[in-house]
Amino acid sequence: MSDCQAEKELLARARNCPEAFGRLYDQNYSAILNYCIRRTGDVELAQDITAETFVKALKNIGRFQWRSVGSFSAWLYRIAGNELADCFRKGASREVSLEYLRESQGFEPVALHELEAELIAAQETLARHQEFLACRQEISLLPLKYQEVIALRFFAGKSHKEMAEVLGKPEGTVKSLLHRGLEKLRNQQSKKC
Amino acid sequence: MKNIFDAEKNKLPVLLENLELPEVQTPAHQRHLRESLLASSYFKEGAVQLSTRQKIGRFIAPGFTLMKPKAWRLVVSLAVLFLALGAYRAFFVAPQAVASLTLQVNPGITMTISARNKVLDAEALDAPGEALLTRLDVAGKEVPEVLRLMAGALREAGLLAPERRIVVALYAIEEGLRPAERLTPPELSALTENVRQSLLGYMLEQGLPVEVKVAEVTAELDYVARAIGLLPIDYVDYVAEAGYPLAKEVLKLQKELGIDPALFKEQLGTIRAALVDIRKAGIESQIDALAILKVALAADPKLQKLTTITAAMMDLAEKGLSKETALAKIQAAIKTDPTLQNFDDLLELPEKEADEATENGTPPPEAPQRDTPRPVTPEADAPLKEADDAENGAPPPDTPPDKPEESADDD
Repeated sequence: MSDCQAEKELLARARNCPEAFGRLYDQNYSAILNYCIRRTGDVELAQDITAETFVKALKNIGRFQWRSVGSFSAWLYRIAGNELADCFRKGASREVSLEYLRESQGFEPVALHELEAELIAAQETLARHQEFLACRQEISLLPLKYQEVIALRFFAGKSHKEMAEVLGKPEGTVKSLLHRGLEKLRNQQSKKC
Repeated sequence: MKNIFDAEKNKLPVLLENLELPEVQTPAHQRHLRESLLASSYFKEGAVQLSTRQKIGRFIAPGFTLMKPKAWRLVVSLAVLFLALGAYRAFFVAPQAVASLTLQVNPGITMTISARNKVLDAEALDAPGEALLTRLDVAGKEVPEVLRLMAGALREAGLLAPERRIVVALYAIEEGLRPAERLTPPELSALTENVRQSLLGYMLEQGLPVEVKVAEVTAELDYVARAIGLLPIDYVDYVAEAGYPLAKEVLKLQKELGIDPALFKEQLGTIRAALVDIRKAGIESQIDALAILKVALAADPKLQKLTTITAAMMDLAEKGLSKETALAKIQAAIKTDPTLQNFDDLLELPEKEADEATENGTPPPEAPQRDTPRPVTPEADAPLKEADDAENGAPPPDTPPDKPEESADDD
């Protein structure tokens, strides 16, 4: 069975089966979290956006259409991209669905100290990548549409085709956006100098 | 730290690709989020939001959701198209009248009926009918409901006394309708029965001993009758007795022979009696009966000798002459004396001739059949011949052009 076929079957089961959704979650959590970290430069905010992304994915999994997205992963990137854009527009303050889940369902979270310790360690890891953070800072000054294509290409390692699937735009448009985004990035830097 | 943006233009993408990216692992958060998600109520029945297609599929058929989106879109588009057409027909295309119903008590009212057995419009035939319609809103209502409304209004007006009768005549409208749109004979019969039961049911409920007569006629008969000024209450009994299409062909004689319509209408009872006599005289063929009547009416346009002629026909039959011989003799007598002054004398048979006629049934020499003009045209003959064939047990024609659905019942 091909990977695509396997993912389709898993996705079909995930609509009603928590275990199947759990597998999809495990397959994509790390990629989405790191994409969000690289976009925001903030581990805690990235965790919140990641949580929101999966909550929305779970809530809307019945509406997922292969034809329009191409893969579950691309769909998650699209949701995450929307959440990031929303976050950038509104600022860092966010209402997190995860908190809602905890409160409304009486769910007992893992030990808070464990989460806090992990968060500190993750932030330290991030802080060690100064070159990346400087680069991210420059990119974050670009219009959102250019940030998005550059991040998908260089922070998530997506091909033009995959970027087109995530953004729901033709491949040619994506290439053009990427080209112009890089051009703007270079011009932006040269003006500073 | 070297700024990667200092790089040459073409090297920027390469440098970005080689940028060392932070790779963060947060297993506690991952586990925590996972458990939160999987324990959520979204997995309870119906909580996961489905697409419209899937929601529809749950109600229609499980296989529906397996359709490809393209096929699904096509199905939805077709459904929308049909709904739009249906809405267009419902709101912008007036339903067609497929039947006409005339109710006379009197008052008299004619209604047109749609294929869904709803009254489309109603027209009064007289002033009392006009007064009745001003009190009732019948358009768009089901036929039984309208009939009950009318019966109720008639009862309140004291018009359903025991000596009165309700006459209803129905016919299928064909003009302007495609064959598929027309009422079939069984559909017309069903409508007729519905009308009958509605009225009888009402009379029974109210304890009204009023006679209800419901008859299926044809548009052509109704047209011919109305041209003379006859309404269903005037002609249903005549049609029941004379039979269709003879009744229709006889009515056509008024125009064909130029008889005064008022006189024809007034003497319809006489004509009806004459036809009964002709039948009693053994002239069972509708063609022959029409021929006799036509000869008689042509000779006596004032309708003064009609019963004399038919009585003579009966006498000749009693004397043993065949119907052909009797008809020939009558025609010859009328031809000899169109004034009919000596009609009875001319029909007198010598004893010998009568005896011979009784023995061999041959026509007398003075009235050879070759000289006898056929008063009925071949076109007019056709439906009558069919009716005669039907009476004689002959197989019906493949496609009856205007097969009567005459059924007048006394209830």
